[in-house]
Amino acid sequence: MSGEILISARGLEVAFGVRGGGGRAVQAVAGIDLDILRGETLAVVGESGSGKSTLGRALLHTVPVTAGTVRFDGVDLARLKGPALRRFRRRFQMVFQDPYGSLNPRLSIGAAIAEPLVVHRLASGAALKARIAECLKMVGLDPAVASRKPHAFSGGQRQRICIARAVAARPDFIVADEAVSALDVSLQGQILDLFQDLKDQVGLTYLFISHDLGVVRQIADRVAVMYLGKVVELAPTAALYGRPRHPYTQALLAAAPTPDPALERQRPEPPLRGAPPSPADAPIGCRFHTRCPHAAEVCRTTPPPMTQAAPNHFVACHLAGAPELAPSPRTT
Amino acid sequence: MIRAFGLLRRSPPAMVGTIILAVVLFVTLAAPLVSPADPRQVNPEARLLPPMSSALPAASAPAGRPTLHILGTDAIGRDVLSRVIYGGRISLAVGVLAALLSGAFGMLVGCISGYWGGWIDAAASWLVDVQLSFPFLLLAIFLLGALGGGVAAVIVILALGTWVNTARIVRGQVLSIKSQGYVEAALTTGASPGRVLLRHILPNTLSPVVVLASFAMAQAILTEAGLSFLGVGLDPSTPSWGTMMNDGRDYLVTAWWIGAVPGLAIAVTVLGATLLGEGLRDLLDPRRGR
Amino acid sequence: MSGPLLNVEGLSISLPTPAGRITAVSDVSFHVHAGEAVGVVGESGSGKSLSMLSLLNLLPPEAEVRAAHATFDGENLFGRSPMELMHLRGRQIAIVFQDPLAALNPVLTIGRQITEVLRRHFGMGKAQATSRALELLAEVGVPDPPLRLRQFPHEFSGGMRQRVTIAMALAGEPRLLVADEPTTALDVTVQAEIVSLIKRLQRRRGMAVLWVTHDLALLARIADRVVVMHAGKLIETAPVDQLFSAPAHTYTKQLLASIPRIDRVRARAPAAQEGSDVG
Repeated sequence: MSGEILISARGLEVAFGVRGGGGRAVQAVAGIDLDILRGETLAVVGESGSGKSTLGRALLHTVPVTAGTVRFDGVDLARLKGPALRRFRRRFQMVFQDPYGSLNPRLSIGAAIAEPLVVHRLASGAALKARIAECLKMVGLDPAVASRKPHAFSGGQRQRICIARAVAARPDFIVADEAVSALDVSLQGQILDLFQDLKDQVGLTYLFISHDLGVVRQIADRVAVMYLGKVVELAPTAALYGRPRHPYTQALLAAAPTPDPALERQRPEPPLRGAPPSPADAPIGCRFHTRCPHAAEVCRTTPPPMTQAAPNHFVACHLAGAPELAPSPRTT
Repeated sequence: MIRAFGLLRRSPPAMVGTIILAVVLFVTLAAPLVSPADPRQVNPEARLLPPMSSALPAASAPAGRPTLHILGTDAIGRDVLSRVIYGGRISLAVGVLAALLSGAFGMLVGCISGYWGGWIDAAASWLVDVQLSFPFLLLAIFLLGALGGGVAAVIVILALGTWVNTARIVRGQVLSIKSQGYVEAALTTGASPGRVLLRHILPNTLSPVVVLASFAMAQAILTEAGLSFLGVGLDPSTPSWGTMMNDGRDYLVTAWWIGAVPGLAIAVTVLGATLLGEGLRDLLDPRRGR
Repeated sequence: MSGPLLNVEGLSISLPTPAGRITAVSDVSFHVHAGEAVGVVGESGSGKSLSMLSLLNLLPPEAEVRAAHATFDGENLFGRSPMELMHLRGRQIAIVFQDPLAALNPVLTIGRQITEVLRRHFGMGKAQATSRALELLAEVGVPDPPLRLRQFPHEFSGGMRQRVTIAMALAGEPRLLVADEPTTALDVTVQAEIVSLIKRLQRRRGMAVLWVTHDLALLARIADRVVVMHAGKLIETAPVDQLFSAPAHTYTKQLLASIPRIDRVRARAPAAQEGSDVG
């Protein structure tokens, strides 16, 4: 990791929905400042309604951004219009959750992988074929299968093909949106390893979006926890899992099952009641206060700012320093 | 080609329909070879002869053996069978061209509507609703009167009758395809909307369009016949099945074959096209897991 | 305890496919004692859901189900008349599915759907059924039951809907609750609450639970015993502590090793072949 900032978001907001009078717009992303360093894997975790998928798309500007800026390698994406933005897309790509829907059933997988190269006019003819074969090899598939259609492949293989497509044009940055969630557990590890290998071989930066804390632990350098459109905690992986400081992060970690029956038997009852409020109805003040076991008066009225709780460890919580919030250290 | 044939075999209606249409097409295209006589040959001596009559050639014709008029002659002695064979060229051409035009236009509007949505979609839907609220036949008669006759005008009018269906269905297809992951993937890659439309969306809408085109052809042939029968379609001197039926109108009781034979030809062709359309629809039904 | 509540031996299920008949489940045996929580774990295509559905005759008629031995409370499960099945389903054995929307009728209020179960199985009158329904909703942790009783399924969030289907399942006072991936579609915090709820209910009612899932770690939290299935076969069955600490079969070891853990980064997975994806 070079420590250099590749992507920088400031005051990022994405709202959907009713315009004009009447209904309220749904704020999927409600004001986020985030830096992603070149060469790192930043994971974004959250549950439904957290806005993590929208954040990924907002950084790539594939959904309209309602406020704030995204700078990619210093370039303000909002200043790029139409064809210029499309040309810029060579530098960042996305791998999606559903390996079955992400590939056009009528195109051969070779054609699918070739698409970014053709769109950006990077190769043609023999050079194109060579690059396709190279990409297939990189993801562990036999180049001879390039002429077959997606239905001939299993889910895990299709995801590999999607990854091959994502790296074909040599991008700098890849957003993986729940990229392993639809796969069996035994395949998840393989695909995560593939992501890591490609990163080492080719030099990539990842934004890894997931709801699965176990998966994130395996691959992330830093983790951002999102709740209802805001980042509530941001820290290096070991620090976040070892000493989570935000009550929501603590609840998430407590809720995730570990394959250790003895440990599980000792767990207290889940502290959180109820479901997250709908993003259309976000609470005033700290968005988490309605479910927070420690909510105080200030939490009900004022949104907490992001403060530094430890080196490189940021929390958005009024009570972050309070002793009752300090969790017992977990084994690493 | 062979694979397509194998596919056809799975659906009896499609098979039968294709055979019928193939025969009709062959006969009309090979008219000079197949037709027993010159369809324009007038023979005042042999007027209104019933089927299977033979007659001496006309005074104006080159001398020869007596001709057997398998399906009789019309009011001015022309061989009905020959007229039907040659007339088929016009009717089929009109039908096919109308179907193609309807399919192309419907697909264009459906794609643009479905893909861009917004006011374009609203405008197109409004247009469709307006057209649908007019009784088609009246609209056709009015337009034909305004534009004058002529084959081109008739083809356009016929296409007008069926493009709406295609547009609606294609629009629905585009909407559902738009939400597919691979469309978002292509856009994220940096493909232009035009490329996405042409390369990813359009090919996946072709199946229903082919089905609809078959039905459109059937409908075009019928409508042309109807319009010509009413005297507002093709010019009566153009030998199409419809105009022939118009000719036979005055002789329904006395020389029924003049109108009935082209009518039968229409029925058989329309049956063929409809069967093909139904068969294709079943074959291309995604639930069959193609 | 005189013997297992549910005892299945040599279960085999075959299904017709375009490519001919395939054996989806082959010679699988398991049992559940009264009050016990048994977890059935397997990846996609393992046959775990099929096995559960077959117990209540919920498979399509084309499926061929055979078992050397399949009893519930000493009586045969298969070969029952439709009347007997209806009595069995809901009253003795209840199922909770992954998708609550599939189990709930969108046009009937929740109250109607729960009271229907009560009236059918216990012949309760309307007033009695309504008050019992309110109790059930409170028991599963639905806030403000009188209001919720009058609402429709779409007015509930995913987690709430699942609580409602659990309430419906409990209405018949079943002795065995079969849960087929009930929390897979839920957020992890909601899942934790549902798991906690079912554990509580199990203890309070002495109910047996058969929990089917692809998430092995989840079973560490809820199961007393674990059954591992793969490609239609039974791989291993063991008490939960033993399965996690000393798995006997290679597949179980691989499965355990591949779970993404939150407490450590695992060693690189060996270059294993692709799993048996179905379809």
